[in-house]
Amino acid sequence: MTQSVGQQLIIAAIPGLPAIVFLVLALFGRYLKEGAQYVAIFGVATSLVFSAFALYFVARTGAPMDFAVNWIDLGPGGSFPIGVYVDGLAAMMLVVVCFVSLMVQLYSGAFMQDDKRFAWYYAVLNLFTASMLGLVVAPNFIELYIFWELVGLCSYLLIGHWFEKPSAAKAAQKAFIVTRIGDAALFIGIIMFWRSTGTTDFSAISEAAAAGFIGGSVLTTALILVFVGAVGKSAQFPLHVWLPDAMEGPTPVSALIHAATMVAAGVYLVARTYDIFVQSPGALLVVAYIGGFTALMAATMAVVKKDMKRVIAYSTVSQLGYMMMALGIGSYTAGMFHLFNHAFFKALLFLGAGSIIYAMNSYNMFDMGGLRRRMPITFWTMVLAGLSLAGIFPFSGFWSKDSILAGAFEEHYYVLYAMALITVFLTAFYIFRAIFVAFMGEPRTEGARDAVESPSIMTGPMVILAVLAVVSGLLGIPKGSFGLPIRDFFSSLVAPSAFTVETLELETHSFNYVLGAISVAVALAGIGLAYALYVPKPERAAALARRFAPIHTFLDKGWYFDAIYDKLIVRRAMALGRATNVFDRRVFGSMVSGVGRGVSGLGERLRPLQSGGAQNYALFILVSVLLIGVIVGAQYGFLLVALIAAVTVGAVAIGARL
Amino acid sequence: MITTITIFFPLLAAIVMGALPRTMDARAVRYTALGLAAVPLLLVLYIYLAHRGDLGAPTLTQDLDWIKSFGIGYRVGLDGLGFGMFFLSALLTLVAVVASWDVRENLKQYFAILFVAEVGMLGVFAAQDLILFYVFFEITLIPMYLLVGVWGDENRRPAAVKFFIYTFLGSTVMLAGFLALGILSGPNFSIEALAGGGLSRGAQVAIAAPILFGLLVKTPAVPLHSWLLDVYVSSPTSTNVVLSGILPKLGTYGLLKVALPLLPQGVEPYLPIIAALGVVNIIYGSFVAFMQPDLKALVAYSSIATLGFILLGAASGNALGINGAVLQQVTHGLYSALLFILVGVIAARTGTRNIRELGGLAASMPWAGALLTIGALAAMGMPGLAVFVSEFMTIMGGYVAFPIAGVLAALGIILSVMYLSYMVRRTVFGPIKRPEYEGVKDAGPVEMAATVPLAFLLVLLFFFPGLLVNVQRPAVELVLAAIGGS
Repeated sequence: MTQSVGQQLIIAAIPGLPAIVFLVLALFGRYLKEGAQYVAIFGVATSLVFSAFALYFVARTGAPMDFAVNWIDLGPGGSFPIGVYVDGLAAMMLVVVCFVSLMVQLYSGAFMQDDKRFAWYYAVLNLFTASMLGLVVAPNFIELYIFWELVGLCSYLLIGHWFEKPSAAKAAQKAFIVTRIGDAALFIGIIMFWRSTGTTDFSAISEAAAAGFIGGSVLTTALILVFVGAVGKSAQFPLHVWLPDAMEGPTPVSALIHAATMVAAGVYLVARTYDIFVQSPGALLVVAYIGGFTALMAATMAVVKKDMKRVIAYSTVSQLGYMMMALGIGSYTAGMFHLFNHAFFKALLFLGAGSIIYAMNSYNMFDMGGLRRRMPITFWTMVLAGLSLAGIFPFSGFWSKDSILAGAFEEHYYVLYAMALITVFLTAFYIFRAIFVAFMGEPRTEGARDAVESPSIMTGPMVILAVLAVVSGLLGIPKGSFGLPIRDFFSSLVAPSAFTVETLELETHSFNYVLGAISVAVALAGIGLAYALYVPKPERAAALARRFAPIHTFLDKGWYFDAIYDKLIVRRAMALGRATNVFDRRVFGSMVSGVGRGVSGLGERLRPLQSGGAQNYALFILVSVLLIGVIVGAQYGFLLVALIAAVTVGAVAIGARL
Repeated sequence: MITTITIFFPLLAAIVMGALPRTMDARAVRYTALGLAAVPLLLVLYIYLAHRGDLGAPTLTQDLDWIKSFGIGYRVGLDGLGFGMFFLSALLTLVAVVASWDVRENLKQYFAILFVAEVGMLGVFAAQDLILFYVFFEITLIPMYLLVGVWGDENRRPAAVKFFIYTFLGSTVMLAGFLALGILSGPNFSIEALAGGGLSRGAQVAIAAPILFGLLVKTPAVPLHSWLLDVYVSSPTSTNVVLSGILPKLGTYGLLKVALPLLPQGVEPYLPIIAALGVVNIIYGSFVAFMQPDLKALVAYSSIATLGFILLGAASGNALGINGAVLQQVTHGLYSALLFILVGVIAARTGTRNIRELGGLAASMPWAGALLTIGALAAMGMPGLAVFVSEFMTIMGGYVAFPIAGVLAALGIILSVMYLSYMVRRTVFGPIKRPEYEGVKDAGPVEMAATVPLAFLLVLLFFFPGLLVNVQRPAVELVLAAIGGS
């Protein structure tokens, strides 16, 4: 409570401004038309400035900003405030979210210019940003859950932005339902915490757990349920199936979903509640292995995809797996650092893909080819993003990925380390496969031959993001590496709490040159293989795919997850729905029809009155009014009521007999 | 006195409607009805502004002897438990008048009967005497029966008869319980005097059974719901508004106002059953809604599912759950009225309610489509709309008392998103299904006037749940004191 009112207003305005922009555009967007984007960009740019203020406040004082207002207050029955809690982690996220959102909104002005729901698109984009910002500053589970659901709603609306297309409408619905499964789990986790501790505040729950109000298997179960929520949002195994289909949305939306909002929410949730997670080693282990497995699994799926956006989408699933794994093994700062770096290079990859789509209207990389000369800015920015994603020294992805791998190795999680290392290889391979196929060689179609570079309103944000994809990692180089006086800015801002350090007995590791060299070598091998297979003789890759056709199909179908879910769950649920429907009609319907038949005589006698003219209706009204008058007025109304009751019971009894 | 005036003003309105000259044109009739329907709402708003702080124990009471030897009185008053629904009854009657575009014949009589129903609805939520409660409870029945039976669709008669018999049977059984309770305790039928339960535990348990049965039929709790579908589907749109928005709450409100505080020990053994029925409502209702081709039937079953949360919250016996249940009564009324009106609009424009025949309505009916989506989002408990607030309160409260029921109810939110997003996808989204849908008109000013305020209230109550929660909280605390809970 060290902040002034002015500071509080600034913090509240960070999610508040995009929310207001949403309202303005949703209501008046049709009159603004093209102007909608300027309103939106002004809003989010101001939020970005305020976020930078917040970051500055927090970094300077070292203390979180924390305030709340009443929302529901039941006194001793429980109270649910709505508040704000901004520490280094939250401030970092605020900046990232606002920044990526700003880039996406600038870019969208050109990309979406012909869209018939242009203003609505910007409106939802801003609600999306506002929801994510609200989620970031939430100090308690209920508030987080509110924004968590709103983030899901916005992604539903944006994935389904072109809802006239049945596939887009379906993909939106799929994302909505699959993430909602996670949401339900998260909610059950929240109510478990509430029942045991009587609060939903993160720090209060952590203290209550440390004091023993919740522990053992209850704590582990609750945490795993919370984690299932994160699994849904962050598209981790086994709820990852919605993310690849989410490509049906406009490409800039994918950039936002994959970089800063939606999928980042799951990882952020685990980080936000880390002080609780560290009190259950079992839950952390689940986080670590689900993350590690997802990283590897999604990378294998990305290897064979022909759709450029899907390759990048699976890449997101895989990279989020790294972050989860990092959190699971206690490398808190490394995981968050990867989230930070990933935001820039992943947004860039999507904007780059969008730039190609804008130029030639195809998602299939094998329709492309030779774009390097026609779209040089797109080419070079994507190469930089690819190098960063692959983890090549000294690009930003290297620093965070290396620190996750080093953490796994040094904390003796050798299985996870091996999985992560294979993933490094696959990552480098699939991203450079996509880059080589799209940009090298000769154009394969008319579209690729006629492609031209996108306008500068699109390439501008890409260049800015490319600069960050190169340098953002420099903020978090381990202290004193290479014998230089390096100050690790990132870990001074986003550090695990003293409580976490103590509970997990964390030690700081200095930069490990051997591990760094190994991961760079593996990544270079992946790039080399991609080059060998796709650049000099592309037919080699095709031959290889034919030779291992079953494996290729298995990977291309995403390990058949969709097919299995469809058969095991969707079809059965639909069959159950149909069966319940029939049951309801046959069993309950006929039961009452029996009663209905029993009293049909009564119905017959009423019929003349119902079908008659106005006089009859008037009579009915008169009867109703009289009935009320009689009942209310009669001194012995009680007896009358009893009489009516008795007669009715008798009538029904007799009627049922007939 | 103001309470009595508010309750019985609609009776005057009904008489005025009946006395209107035969030659008056439909437009003038509608405006007259609108003006008359606005009066109770304004009175309720005045009561809210003037007395919202002191609605713990009943205030603005009026207590007249009626049958003195039996301890029956005309006792009315307002407390926080009933106030939300008292308000909603006045509001939804007004909305029903606005939404009466599909009633074309005998308009005056239609409004007159609607106003008679309003007397019963307002009366139930203000009654402070068991017999009076019962009388008002029944007063709603006959007008509703007429509204459906006369102005409904071609299947209206069997539907209306079924509805009448079934719910009348339920309320008669309930009356038997009321009589036993009142006679054994004095005789005294004052709800306030009976609070806390003076009878022996055995007597209470025996008396609670018929009362709960009657209330659960009215709600309706599955498996006592079978009267609902036909009557909902057959009703004209504006009757649907009242039928789904108010009538089910007669049952749940009775649970909160009568069963819990008057028979605390008697209801106790049934609470797990009520909680279980709540969960059955949620899950069963969702599954039936899941493959429902008729838009109106889908909304009706979604309504059954949402009512389950009220039962769960009421059974929880704690502040969070009961407050959630009281609030959910209002939020459910708002969203179900909204959805039923929009279904009516869509059916009127396209000529069908079959989900498989619809599609792509966003193109020609952007406003109606957007409002339908908002209604669906409310029904699935999306934050930003008030149903979320009451739902999470009932689930959390329910979980504290009955963990398994709470978990199952929480899983219900997955089911609701499944069928509601399916409904939105098949009606609003997708390509335009039929060429003739291309030219259909969007919701017009009248339809917007009926729906936008409902959507606005849903949003308002999400951001400021205190507007109602703070009013109902002291009354809920009295209920908790009566049942000895926390």
